[in-house]
Amino acid sequence: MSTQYLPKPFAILEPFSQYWTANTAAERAGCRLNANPQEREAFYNAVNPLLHEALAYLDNKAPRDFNEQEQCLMKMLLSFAHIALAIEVQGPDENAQGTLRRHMTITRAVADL
Amino acid sequence: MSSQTNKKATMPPEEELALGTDPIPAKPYYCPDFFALEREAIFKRTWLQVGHMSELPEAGSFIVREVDIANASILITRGKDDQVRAFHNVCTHRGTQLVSQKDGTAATFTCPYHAWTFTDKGDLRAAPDFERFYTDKSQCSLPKVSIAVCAQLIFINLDPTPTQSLQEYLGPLAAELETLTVAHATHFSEYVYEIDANWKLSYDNFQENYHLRFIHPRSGEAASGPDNPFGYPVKYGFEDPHRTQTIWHNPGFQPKPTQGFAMGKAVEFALASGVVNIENAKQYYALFPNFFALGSPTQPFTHCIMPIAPNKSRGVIRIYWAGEDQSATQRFSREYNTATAMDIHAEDRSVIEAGQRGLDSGALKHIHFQSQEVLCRHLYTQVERYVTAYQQEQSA
Repeated sequence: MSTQYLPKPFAILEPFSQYWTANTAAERAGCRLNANPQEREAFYNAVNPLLHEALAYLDNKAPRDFNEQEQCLMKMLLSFAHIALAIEVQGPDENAQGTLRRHMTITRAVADL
Repeated sequence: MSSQTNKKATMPPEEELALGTDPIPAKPYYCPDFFALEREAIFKRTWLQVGHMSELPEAGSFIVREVDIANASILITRGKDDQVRAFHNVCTHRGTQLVSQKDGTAATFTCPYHAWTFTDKGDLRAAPDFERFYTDKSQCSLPKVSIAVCAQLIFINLDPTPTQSLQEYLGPLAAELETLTVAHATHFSEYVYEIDANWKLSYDNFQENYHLRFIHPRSGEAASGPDNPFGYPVKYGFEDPHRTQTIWHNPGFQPKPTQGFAMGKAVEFALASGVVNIENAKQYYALFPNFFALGSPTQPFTHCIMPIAPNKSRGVIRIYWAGEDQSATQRFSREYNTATAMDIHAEDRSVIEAGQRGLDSGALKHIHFQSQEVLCRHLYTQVERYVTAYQQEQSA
């Protein structure tokens, strides 16, 4: 598989690199809100087994030194943080909970700076 | 929590007896006249939290904050002399709002209308054709607002001569706040919301746990359990006009996989930073009138609920961090814990607004607080105390 957006060891996640690599926390929260249950589940199932390996890979550098591919992987893992809440915690309540979450606006996040 | 402890916790605390047990009048939670009294009696003369020193990182930094209930826009500057000052954001020529940005860096501020220019100390430096005015520049400084800092939190007081300093106002809680992450924070994440509810109704929701099992059945598992099904606090504290609770933690809580990882890492990072005082990790501070701070190392948040109208408020929630993200894991943990806190805060919205709609109908003369809603009762008694004192002053 040719890698375009992600570091080579994580090429298997390439199909998710378009939608699940939003730049800001607010956009990532929006991706969670706008994805359907099948999309959330597919993303969760793909990233979950690789989460610790991917974080360990990125932990070799400070975030400010990430190259483009590493930044892309970081953003994908940050999206996973939102989706893990949807799948593991909210479960069947995710859609109903989302209608309430739409009223919350993320205005600042450390990862965005 | 043993059944004996649980029984004891449901007994009215001594402090609660001093607050009485009668129903509370419903009208103050929706009445425009009472809201107008709160504006004068409370929000125009108590210390209000409006910012954090990390927002003024260098000389020349400034922020602008709106205090909706007082129709006030406040300009806060950090001068070349490193002094932090606050002013009403109004040009002294004809009242035009001086600064339209929310934050930035500037040595001077120029009014867009006739180009009057003020220094970061609030002095009028220059005004075109000023010799035609019938005053001198020393009479044209920006109106000052009292400002003070505790635990790096910036407070203002719209009373030109506050009756108490911030330290006096916070009492012993000032020292406790200095032990929290917020006092050492360099960064924060923030989310905001507007809600169709009176500020007290909204605030009360976040200072009682009676609703946890009904409104947060999934996200609130760590805060209630078989030994304490309602997740009532371990302890209440009262430092008039403020109050605290010590949060109970469910020892049988089994975090979900990513939850356990992200929270565990947050604790690890917080301990490694050396700025966390675990003693106050379970303390939840409710500072009068409208501010919360939580001691938790994983979600060290503050929550300010600003009144906008008798049935409308704005919430600003910030999660404070000491230092920038050092690693991907730390960045992931912070994003996860911020999203978790936002999930929980979002879940309260519909019941708070439903409560306001019910109260707005005027159908109820009174509302009822049980012994474990004592913090809500305490807030109301403090509001009533301030309003009564103001009315007495006005009639004297």
